[in-house]
Amino acid sequence: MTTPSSHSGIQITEVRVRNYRSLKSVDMQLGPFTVLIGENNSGKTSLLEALFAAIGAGRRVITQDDVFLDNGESKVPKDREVLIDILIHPVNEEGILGTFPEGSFWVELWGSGIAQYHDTDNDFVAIRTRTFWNHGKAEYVTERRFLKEWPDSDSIENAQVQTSQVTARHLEPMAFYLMDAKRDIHDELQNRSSFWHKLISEPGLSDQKIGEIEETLSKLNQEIIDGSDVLTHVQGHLNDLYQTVSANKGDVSITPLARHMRDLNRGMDISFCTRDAQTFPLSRHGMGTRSIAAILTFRAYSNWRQMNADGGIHSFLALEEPEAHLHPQAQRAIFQQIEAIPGQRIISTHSPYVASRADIGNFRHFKKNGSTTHVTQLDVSDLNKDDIRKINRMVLNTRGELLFARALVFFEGETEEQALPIFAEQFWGQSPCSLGISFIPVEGYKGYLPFVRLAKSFEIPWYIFSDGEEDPIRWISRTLKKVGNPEEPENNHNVFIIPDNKNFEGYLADEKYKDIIIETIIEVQSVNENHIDALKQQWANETDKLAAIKTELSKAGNKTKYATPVAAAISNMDDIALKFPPLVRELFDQMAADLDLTPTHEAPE
Amino acid sequence: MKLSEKQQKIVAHGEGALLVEAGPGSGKTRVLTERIRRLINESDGHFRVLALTFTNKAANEMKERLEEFQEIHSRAFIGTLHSFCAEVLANRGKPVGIDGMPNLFENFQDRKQVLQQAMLDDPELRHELLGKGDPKEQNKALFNWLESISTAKTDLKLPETLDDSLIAKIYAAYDDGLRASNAVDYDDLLLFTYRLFTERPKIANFYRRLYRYICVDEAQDLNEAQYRVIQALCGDTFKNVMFVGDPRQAIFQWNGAHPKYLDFFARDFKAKKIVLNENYRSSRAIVEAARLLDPGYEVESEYPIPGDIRLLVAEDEHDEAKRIVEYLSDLLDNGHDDIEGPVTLGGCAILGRNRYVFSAIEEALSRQDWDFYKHLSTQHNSESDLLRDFELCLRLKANPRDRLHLEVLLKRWEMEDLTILNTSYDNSRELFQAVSENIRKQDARDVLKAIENLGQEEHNIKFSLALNMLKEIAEKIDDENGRALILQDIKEWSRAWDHFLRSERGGEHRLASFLGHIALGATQQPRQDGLALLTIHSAKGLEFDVVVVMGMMEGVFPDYRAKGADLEEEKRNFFVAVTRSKRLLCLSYAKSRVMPWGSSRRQDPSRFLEQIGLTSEV
Repeated sequence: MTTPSSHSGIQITEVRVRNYRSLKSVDMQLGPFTVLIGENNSGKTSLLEALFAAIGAGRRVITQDDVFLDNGESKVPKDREVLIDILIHPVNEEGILGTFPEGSFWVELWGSGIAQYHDTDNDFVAIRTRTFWNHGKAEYVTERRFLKEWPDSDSIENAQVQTSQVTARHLEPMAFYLMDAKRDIHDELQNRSSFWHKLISEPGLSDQKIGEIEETLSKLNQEIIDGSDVLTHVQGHLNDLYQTVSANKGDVSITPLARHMRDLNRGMDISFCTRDAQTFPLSRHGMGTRSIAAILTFRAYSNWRQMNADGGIHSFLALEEPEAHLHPQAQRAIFQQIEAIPGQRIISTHSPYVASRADIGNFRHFKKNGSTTHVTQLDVSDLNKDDIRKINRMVLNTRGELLFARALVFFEGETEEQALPIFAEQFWGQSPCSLGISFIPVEGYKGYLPFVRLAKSFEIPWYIFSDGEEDPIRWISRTLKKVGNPEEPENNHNVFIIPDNKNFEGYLADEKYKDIIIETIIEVQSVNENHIDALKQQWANETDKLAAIKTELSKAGNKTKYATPVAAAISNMDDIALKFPPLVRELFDQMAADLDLTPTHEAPE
Repeated sequence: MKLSEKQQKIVAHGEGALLVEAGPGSGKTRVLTERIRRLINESDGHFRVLALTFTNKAANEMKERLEEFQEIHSRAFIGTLHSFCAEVLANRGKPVGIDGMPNLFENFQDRKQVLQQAMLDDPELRHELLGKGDPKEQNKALFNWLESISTAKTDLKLPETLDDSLIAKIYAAYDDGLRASNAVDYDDLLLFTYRLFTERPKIANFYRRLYRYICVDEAQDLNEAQYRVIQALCGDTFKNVMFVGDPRQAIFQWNGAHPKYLDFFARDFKAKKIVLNENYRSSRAIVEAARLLDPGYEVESEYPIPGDIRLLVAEDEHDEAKRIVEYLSDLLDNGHDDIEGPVTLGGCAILGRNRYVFSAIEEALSRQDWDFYKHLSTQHNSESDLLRDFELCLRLKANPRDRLHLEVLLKRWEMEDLTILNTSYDNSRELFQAVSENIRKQDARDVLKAIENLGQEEHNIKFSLALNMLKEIAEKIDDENGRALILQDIKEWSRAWDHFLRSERGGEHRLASFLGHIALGATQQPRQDGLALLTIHSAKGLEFDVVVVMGMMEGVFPDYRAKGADLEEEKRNFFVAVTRSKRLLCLSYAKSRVMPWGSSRRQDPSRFLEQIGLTSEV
């Protein structure tokens, strides 16, 4: 398994789609590795197919059915055009370059199709695929052209086009391959136009070697026939052909095995055996194995192409749901396999396991509002490396759930991390996991920004549940301002600040919960019955019980010890009014309203 | 034929600047073509080749020779410097104000009208123009001013840098007039490209990365602007340039060209020099005549065929024509020892110093019923009114802001409606709509119908459909001559369209590109059928078995206006004429001829005859 080192020299850095299915107006940045996430039917597949329609290997035709249809429209207005613009930049291992280097394959290929920015005169290539209604022909027509400029996003229709047209020759070296979720090595082996066949059609044997092999095959055929009475018998009868078909001389023979190398390719198969098991052809393995095999075949194909291509190949693969049919363990592994495919890659995934391996900056979040798709990405412009590392770690820690959550609750520390899910489960009668709610500790009040930014970027509803001291409040204000929310926490319906300058432990150390918390502390601390009595006595003698509770809960190392039992104890109280501390209830009520969830517990009168 | 050692050296030349001084018949075109073939086939890496020719004929011939490369377009740009500039401006012209394919005003008449209108619109310039006197004097003045503007542009000067404030103002007014019609002239192509390359060096840099090798043919006829554009393209570091030229054949100095640019090139690019002085084309007689004209002309190896030079002395131009026809008839009937196989009309050419010497021979050839073609100018002109109108409409469809041709059209259609002229139309559909509402003549209606047949698809005009429509109209015309004229025009247009379709890659059929293609002369064919009647300037780069140079009289050749250095150029003209011949050369003159004002005048034989050893006493 080798990875070619030579860089293709280009990268497709952006795609813009207008009026293609639900993609009414979508701009999306592309990196070397891009990960599309979002709910089902949010437009991920449409985006991949738009790319395929624009520059795919064996492009499909864009038809009337692909044109965006708005809510309430019964048919497509004739003046609505599908536009798919691809922006390409010269790159090397280090990143994007200002100009194509001298002697670049792409300069020769595209010639003056390469444009230069009006301000910097830097090189770029923009290829527009446009599908429009042709009145003369009374049908939809698709044409491809180089753009002279990369226009503003809101007026791309007016972009100037180059006089020369884009032909198949211009696109072939950067052809885009789309492996949809249904991919299957079995189809690969059968389909004459598959990567498999492209790869093996020229096995590279010398003529002499082929001669030798074919001779051996001939011998083997003869041996089989000679050893088989049935086949000898059939062959004898077939020789009567000469009496009906007037041919001078000849020889009818049965060939149990293909006699020519070129025919042998047709029956080529892959066999695979796990330890201590019998060898099976791949086509008889399960879907998961077959799916991986298909991916690996593509990897082999694109490696091979790259190795033999003299710099003129940009491999661009889109892989839909690489996790399909795979065990979670395998889902984690498949990511590395894909990373090893040379060139530019783009995957769509619903798998937290797959997603958790990728870098947060590579995600594109798809969401459908009504009939139109919106695509967003994390704005990392004011995040530092530490912030990004933090998010990546949290994505990994939550096994990717952070990205796929229906709602995110952010808070400072460990007590909340353990306590809030317990309250939540009591509140809704099912685990927050199954509701798609993730509770994320941001590790100190300074840690909110990257997570809030992430949630906002991906349009995931988010909530802050914060301690009420001065410093946290000041930082939260700052964070809110940075992401464009009202600066004052109280003006944000999704920000909940513990009152009276208290932290969470202090908040719980309330007169109402005094007894039950002391009870829980004793339960946790006690080693035997006698000890319980001693502890009870000790607490009874305590003059400021609330202060003592707060001290005990906040002691170093104690937070994790008490958080779970305390939360469980409180939420199991019989008095409905007491089961949830008021601010926790407020938070959950707000979430219930926003997310349309029904709590199992009615609010107290 | 195998390449000679020197030829091989040029073909094998790789990096660095190279100046090739190539005498007549030294296999210049072949060497150029072979070098491009070798670069494309054998050089490593990814690049294209830029091959700049002097004429479109030469470009087309080179493309034909390289037709084994199916995608020659994607490996090389082969064309004139003007077409290269047009393409650069079409793709990158925005910084200098050119958006898309530039609309070219290539005709002198158009340019004159632009200037005239511009001057009449300005009180001071109006006074200046009207002060010149009667219309004839005004015309003369306009001509001179246009020359001055052209000279300034060729020197890459903008109006504000001229010393003569009147010329500067006229120049500026003229440019404004062109821009008002969203048009540029020929000289602008170079000037704008020069500005683009110098003001935006990264754009020049892009073209250097695109074209790793640049070849310039007929480099002795470069002018200041052309040389500077090439220099600006190359910048300080790019040296892979090959100039091929022959100072002995420099015949465009009257037009601002100068062979000194060969020396500039050698100096500026530190070019290596190779002299190709074999002559594989001409017989001994021709080479000897050429050597008599220019003693410095050295030929290394000579062709073993003797060849022949003949002088025909006639009483007057009709007699001259008669004798030439007899001379050629004899060759056609009996052949010649020095020419393998039969002599064909296609292998013969009649050359003249100017195009006025041909009238008698044209008549004689028509009577003889021989096929012949004239290639006297590079302009494509419709003769019939119908096609002239059609052409005007084509221009307006491609460039609805073209006020000049709109005015001409409205005048021709007797509908000088100022509201149409003074409205600015964003698209041609609105313009034609407005025109058709006021139309009075049936012809005009027909033309507009044909224009409608072009369709609304900008990238894919239905030109044949429109021509067919005009053809139907023509066939209904009773007047035989009128009909013939239209059909001949249609044939010419459809030939041009056919050529455009073949040369345009990627199925792009844009009207503006087509008109640009014609304006740049790209539809000129390397060769046509029959006997060629050529001016010496348009015979450049061609060769024939038999060449007749007629009108060898003092005043005609050399031209009566030529003095001093111009006389030297006249001599080089004759050198070029003589060396067009591969085998036989025939020179003719008439002892008297009818002058333009109608009276007959006695003529003296050209001094050149004596210089190549021919006495007039035959």
